[in-house]
Amino acid sequence: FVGGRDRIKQRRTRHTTQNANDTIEVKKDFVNIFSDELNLHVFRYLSAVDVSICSQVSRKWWRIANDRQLWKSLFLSRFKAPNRPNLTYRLETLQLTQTQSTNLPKSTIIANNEGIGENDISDWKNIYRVSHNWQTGNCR
Amino acid sequence: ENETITLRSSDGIEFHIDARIANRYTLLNNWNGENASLPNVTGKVLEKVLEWCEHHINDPPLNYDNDDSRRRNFEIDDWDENFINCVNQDMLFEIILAANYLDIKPLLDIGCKTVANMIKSKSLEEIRSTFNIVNDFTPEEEEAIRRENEWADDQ
Repeated sequence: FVGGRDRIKQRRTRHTTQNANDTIEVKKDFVNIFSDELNLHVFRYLSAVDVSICSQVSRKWWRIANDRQLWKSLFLSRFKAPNRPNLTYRLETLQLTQTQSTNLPKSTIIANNEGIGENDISDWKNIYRVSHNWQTGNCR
Repeated sequence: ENETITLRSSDGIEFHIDARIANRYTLLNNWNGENASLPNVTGKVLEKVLEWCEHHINDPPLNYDNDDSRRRNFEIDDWDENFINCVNQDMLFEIILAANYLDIKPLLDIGCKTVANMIKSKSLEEIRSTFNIVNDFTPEEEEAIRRENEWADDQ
């Protein structure tokens, strides 16, 4: 597999590639079989784009794909300044403030059904989103 | 001759393994010197797990750290890739569960990374079909979540 950014560029052309796993007869949703911890272990190998697609697969996938720690590590792996930890800290503080002052869409609809409180929905995902938008010049 | 220990699978199949395998992994290590029953692992799965362990018996000692980024970037070597690609999806999940239960971390990493590779770069519908998942969102929820994730399209 190609590394992060190269792979993302290839997303649209590569999804027709044949995969050995396509030939498997019995297909199961591993998310139903694994513990949350194991599911997160799998998701930790994914990029932010992959995780955001995963969150749209089903209710269960949505819950795992919005894990706080998962988005925290996605944020740090993309935006952390390796030799300047203080810079990262200021960046986080700045974006936390911006996140709080904006009216962001919140997934309250299913949060209630699944028994997940608002607090479990990661601020880190919003921080990631805002940082991403700053970098790409978008306003979504 | 090397010392052996006996593992018994949930369906009663006995495996006599080199004690050096047990020594490498914490949980198995605790059972060293006695016969161990594994109520959660079937013979078929245990056989695959032990095949992996036997191949890696002479690997350098495990120096396992929890650093996320290092773990994310590890490469699956050719032998492991061949090993894990030769099993079907069901067996892959069983191996992951067994590796987790037996605390065999490198095998757990290989298994989980393999599942992640089945997700990577796929569209929503491709992921659903790979794992036979039914979309259980209401149309309203689906739309709200789609909008919530729109930003990620701008890569």
